Amino acid sequence: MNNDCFDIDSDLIERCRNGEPKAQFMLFRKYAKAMYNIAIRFTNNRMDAEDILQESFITAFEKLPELVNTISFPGWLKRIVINRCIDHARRNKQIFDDLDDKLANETVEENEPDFTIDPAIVHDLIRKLPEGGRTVLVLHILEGYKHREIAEMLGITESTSKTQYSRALKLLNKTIKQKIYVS
Amino acid sequence: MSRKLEEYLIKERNRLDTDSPDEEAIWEKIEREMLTRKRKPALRVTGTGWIRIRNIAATVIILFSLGYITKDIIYTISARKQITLSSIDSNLERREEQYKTQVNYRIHEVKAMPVRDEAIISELYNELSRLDTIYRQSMNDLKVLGPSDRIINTIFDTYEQRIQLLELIILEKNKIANHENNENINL
Repeated sequence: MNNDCFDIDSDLIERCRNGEPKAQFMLFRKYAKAMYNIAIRFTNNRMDAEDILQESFITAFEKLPELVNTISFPGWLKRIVINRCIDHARRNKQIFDDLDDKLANETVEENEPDFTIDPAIVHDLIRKLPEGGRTVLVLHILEGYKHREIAEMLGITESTSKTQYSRALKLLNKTIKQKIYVS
Repeated sequence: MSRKLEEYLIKERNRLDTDSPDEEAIWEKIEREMLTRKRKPALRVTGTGWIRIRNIAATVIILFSLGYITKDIIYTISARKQITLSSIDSNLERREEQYKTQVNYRIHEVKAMPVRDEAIISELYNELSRLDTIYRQSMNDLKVLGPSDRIINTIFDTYEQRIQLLELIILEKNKIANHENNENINL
């Protein structure tokens, strides 16, 4: 999420609370891209991500009068989107054991090259990770959730969350290196 | 662990948002959906709304149950008070009256005769007493379970059997009386 997302125009939110369509559209435009990218990293599917974005904004507009502190709007909205993404994962019975076990035993390279790769490529490679590990990786490293919280959210153990994260990170590292090498 | 990768992901977090949604199309859907929901406000129920609905539903169920129980009790009480053969049907009432007249007539006749304690007469009185019990049970069934052919037929059967038994008692008493008269003549 962009830092300017936190520079909330309280006036805009107030107008949205009053059901003003123009203000709602402006608020949507401000956060749509950030929220959409969260959703697509979870789902790796454009249509699902769009559905999640749509449902999340409708929920946000409906529940906006319940939001006490307008400054917390970006985090609040992000939480709605993430909850929707987790519901989506549950509906699709996301599997958390689909990462190659060999990855867990791979040795750590001490002299890793500096990452100078384009973020768009990394974003694309994250999307292509196996879904269980991808969800944990996105929640932990990109959205800042602790493994204990992730375990609660996804109905898995903390240990599974850590293992999935470790494997997904190694797999991502490997695919990034391959990409750099091919380039 | 891929520490450098972690550092990279944290540092470049905001630059990872490279996908762009079709904002116009999504907004159109949002607007349409919100308009549809506004037209159906009854379907938009909040958390507290659900609690209210649940409470109302629980109250309705309790009231309905109480109403049903009360109705059942009133029905049973009133049934016990009111249901007789005469309250069911005028034909049954007339038929019962005829039987009652016949029974009373024979009882009056039996009472007018001298008291006899012969075994056969005692046996017939016992049989009358058994019929009275069946009659009382049938009348109770009629009040509790409501009218049915089986119960009504049983009631009328007891009347018929009573008449037959009373006639037998009269006959036996007459036989005994005749036998005594004959003995006196012979003496």
